[in-house]
Amino acid sequence: MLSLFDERRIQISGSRRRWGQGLIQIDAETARFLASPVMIILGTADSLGRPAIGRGLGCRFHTDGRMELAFSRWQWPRTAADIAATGQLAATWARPSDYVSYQLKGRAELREAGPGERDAAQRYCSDVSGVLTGLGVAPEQVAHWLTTQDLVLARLTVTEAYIQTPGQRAGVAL
Amino acid sequence: MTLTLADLSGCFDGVIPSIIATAAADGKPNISYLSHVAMVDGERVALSNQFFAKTAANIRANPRARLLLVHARSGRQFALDLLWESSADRGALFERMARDLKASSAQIGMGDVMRLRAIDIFRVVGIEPCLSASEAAPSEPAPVLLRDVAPAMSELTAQDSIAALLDALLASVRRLAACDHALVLLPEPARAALVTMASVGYRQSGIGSEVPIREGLIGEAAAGRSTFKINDASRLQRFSQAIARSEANEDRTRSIALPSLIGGLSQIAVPMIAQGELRGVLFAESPARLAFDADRQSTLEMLCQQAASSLALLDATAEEGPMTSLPTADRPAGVDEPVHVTAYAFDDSVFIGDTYVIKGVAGRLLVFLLERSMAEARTEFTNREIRLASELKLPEFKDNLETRLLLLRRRLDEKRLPVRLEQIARGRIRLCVTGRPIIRLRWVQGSKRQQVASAPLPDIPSVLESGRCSQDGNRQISIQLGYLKIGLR
Repeated sequence: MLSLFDERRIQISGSRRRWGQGLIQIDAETARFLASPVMIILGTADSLGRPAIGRGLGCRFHTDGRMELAFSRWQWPRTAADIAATGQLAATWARPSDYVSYQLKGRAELREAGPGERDAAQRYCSDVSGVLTGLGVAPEQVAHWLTTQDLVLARLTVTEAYIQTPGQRAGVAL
Repeated sequence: MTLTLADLSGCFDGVIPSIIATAAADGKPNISYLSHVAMVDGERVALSNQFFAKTAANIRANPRARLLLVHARSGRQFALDLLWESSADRGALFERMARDLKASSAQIGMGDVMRLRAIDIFRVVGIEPCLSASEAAPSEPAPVLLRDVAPAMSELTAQDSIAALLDALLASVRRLAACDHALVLLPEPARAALVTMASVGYRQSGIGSEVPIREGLIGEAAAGRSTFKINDASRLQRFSQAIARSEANEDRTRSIALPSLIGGLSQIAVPMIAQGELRGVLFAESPARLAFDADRQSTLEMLCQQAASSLALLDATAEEGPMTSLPTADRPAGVDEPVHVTAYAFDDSVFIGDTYVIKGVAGRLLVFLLERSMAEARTEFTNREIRLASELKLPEFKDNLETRLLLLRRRLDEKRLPVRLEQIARGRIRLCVTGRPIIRLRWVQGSKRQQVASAPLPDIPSVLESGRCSQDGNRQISIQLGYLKIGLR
């Protein structure tokens, strides 16, 4: 199920700690969660402060602590344009079965997806569809939310991380 | 084609979470799911704000927001550009959303977590459909046709008894809303509750089961006087705790389980209001998701309004029956089987044999009718004499006598007991007993018993304490019982 997550490639510090220029390293458990088939939503804003919304198609981690999020530039053109213009991205991961959620924010840059990444995004789509249909959402509904057309990757350098699960701790920094 | 908010009515059902993005003054975005979006009018939406402090701070610095709504049935997505106008933590709109949220978050087991703190009201400045790679379109349910609703309304106005009216309402609900399971509950003011008076589709009718005002979907609809519904109860913690209770327990708990459809995914509770007064609540459920769309909801609301008016009219024109003496009747020959009736004073509950019948005023009514019938050798009664019977101490709700008699009649029928009630004319009933009734009056251990013991009364026969008395003694004891209650209350 860890479709876009290669655990061997992550150097895990074992605990949450900040390192370097305000960068945040994600602990192993959280990383595993983020790379599991959970829903991902993307928030951006243009240079005039007009926000936009997109949906992510999985994420993967790199050894330097950065992560990459896949999404369809065709379906979410403003998300792509805003990242290109401002270099800022917020993303929230939410597990549909229990609403466990995290929001990460940071600097982002875009790049085109390669064939392997398209396959990985396809796997994410089918995994997350399986999760949602298991919860009773119709596959025809899910089909409107997930497309890999014109797939791009946003490389996110995380500078802020928050718990966003509904409840008392919503909004608390990780 | 320019989309309007009205075109998005299928997106406000709260089935698929909405998403909101905002940006801080420095341009840093924030994104989160929202539990509830309501349409305020043709140009504004209200969003629930339970704990998203960042969103609240952002819109104060930069009022622009982007909202993503998902059509509950098709899954199609719509992006809305919003401008924040105001926030509110009170007022009619806030109260309405708080109730909706309470109802809809209870279904995901987060009733306590999701307390509404404030609502944010936004003006919608643009709506655009999101691109989709899918052509998938779900089959839309057939609309409800007005020409099918009209005869159903006429049928409701034509009924001349509460029983017939409730049955006609359920039949129309079943036909027009395409749901096979429904209940009608009427108010029981003495206990701030609603009592199930009629049902359709359930294995156990649940007649006599009660729902406290403000509890669950039904209780919320009664308290809020507005329709409440759940469109997708797949992870529902059922509002009613009654599911697990079996009928066998009924005789022990003296409470009747509210019927429920196992696997029901859509539920709706519609209040019945006439002249500003709550006359009842209709509850319907279906194993399908989104069974009660806007069309079906409106249809049910129209039927309920008509039914409420008809109930009010039936109350206002209630036939009381004459006060003149009624014919005496001999007990049917050859039926001498004892029918053991046990009445408990502490809650007015009545058992026939080991079967729990009913409690409260309806229980008192049953004992009264049996006693009168035995003492005066007759079987027919009028509403007028029942109402005037001082030992019954009916609450001062004129409109409830017929309801209580109906409840009693239906319980006796449902349990197939040797005591039955028949409506022989408006305001007139017949008590039919197959056998020889023996009534026992009992006090149950507890504080009430001590109160009774200390009540200043003449000779209370010792048989009362033991719970045994002869048939001849019944009359005398019950009169004293009535007196006792006066002394206690």
